[in-house]
Amino acid sequence: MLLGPNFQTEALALDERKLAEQWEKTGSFMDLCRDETWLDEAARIEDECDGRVEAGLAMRAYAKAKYDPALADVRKGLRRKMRLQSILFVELNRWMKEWDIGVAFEETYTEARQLVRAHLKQPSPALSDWIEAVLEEDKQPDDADKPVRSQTRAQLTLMMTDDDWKTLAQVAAAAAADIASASVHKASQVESNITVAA
Amino acid sequence: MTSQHLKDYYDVWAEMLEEAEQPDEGWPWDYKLRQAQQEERFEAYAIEVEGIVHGLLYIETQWHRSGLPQRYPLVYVQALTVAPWNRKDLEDPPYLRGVGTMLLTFARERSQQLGYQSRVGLHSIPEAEGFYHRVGMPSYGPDPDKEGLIYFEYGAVRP
Repeated sequence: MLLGPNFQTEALALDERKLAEQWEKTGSFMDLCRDETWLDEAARIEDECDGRVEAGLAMRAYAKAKYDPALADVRKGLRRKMRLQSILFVELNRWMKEWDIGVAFEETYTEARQLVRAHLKQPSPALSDWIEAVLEEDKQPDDADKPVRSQTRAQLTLMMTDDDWKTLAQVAAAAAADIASASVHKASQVESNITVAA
Repeated sequence: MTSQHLKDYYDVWAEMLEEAEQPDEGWPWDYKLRQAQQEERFEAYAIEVEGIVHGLLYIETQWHRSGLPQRYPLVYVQALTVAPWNRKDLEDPPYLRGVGTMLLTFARERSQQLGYQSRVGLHSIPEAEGFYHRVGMPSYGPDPDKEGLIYFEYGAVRP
């Protein structure tokens, strides 16, 4: 049995008036994400709450680990991992879009990410050195020159083995064939419906 | 949310659960994505920035009702979580801020799209109750059906 609501009276990032105005204006609450003032307030509130936002019974174990002070070093390690993978995957995505593999892109890109992750688990000494250098450089402001980061595509090329390229080619071919087959099936269904209708 | 986002979760986020010796607790997202792909009433979303997932949201859109006597339909947040690295204890300021608020705003948007006047309900974990109070989500007290977690519910937005 639930009790009556306990309303709060402070200034709010998601108050009904602000949302109603936004809906009237653009038809989407998510456009608030373009509003610097709203974003600042949302960020400030989350800072005040130390990023503790989890909801749902299933999230309790995750949150317990996330807020455990004893795991602060683990979280720092994950943050490093996140930054490194972000740098690599942004460039990998850009690079693979130049391959022009059309409908096979998503599956091939997903496979390529897994291959990169596998190489990061056992990096060569040269790759380890580059990783340290690019993460150190990443601490510089966004608008600073990033000469180490500009080598990302070259590092990805060095990382990929002959077997990796074969795997990617197979995944791309299979994905394209699956989609082509699904399209033919759909087209034949449409054709048969037209025949019945006629 | 896609299988790629799930792989991000297992490769980066879930490592923390292994360190906390709770590796099995990371699996609910696998189940949630499958459920969202199979049943129309469940939906799973991810916030991706620079190729990596920073927030996850899982909602139920048909069966849950408001805690108010009128039993309005609403979007129920089954799970909402933000990546482990966006906290002030690691770096000030955190790498990304406001991800939780964006996910919650999206839940309200989805509710509006479904004709529920942006009503949203959820059960906060104890450590996050301060956040939901702070964003003005009315609380309805502990829910014995959810192991005593506090139930919060946003009311209608009427443009």
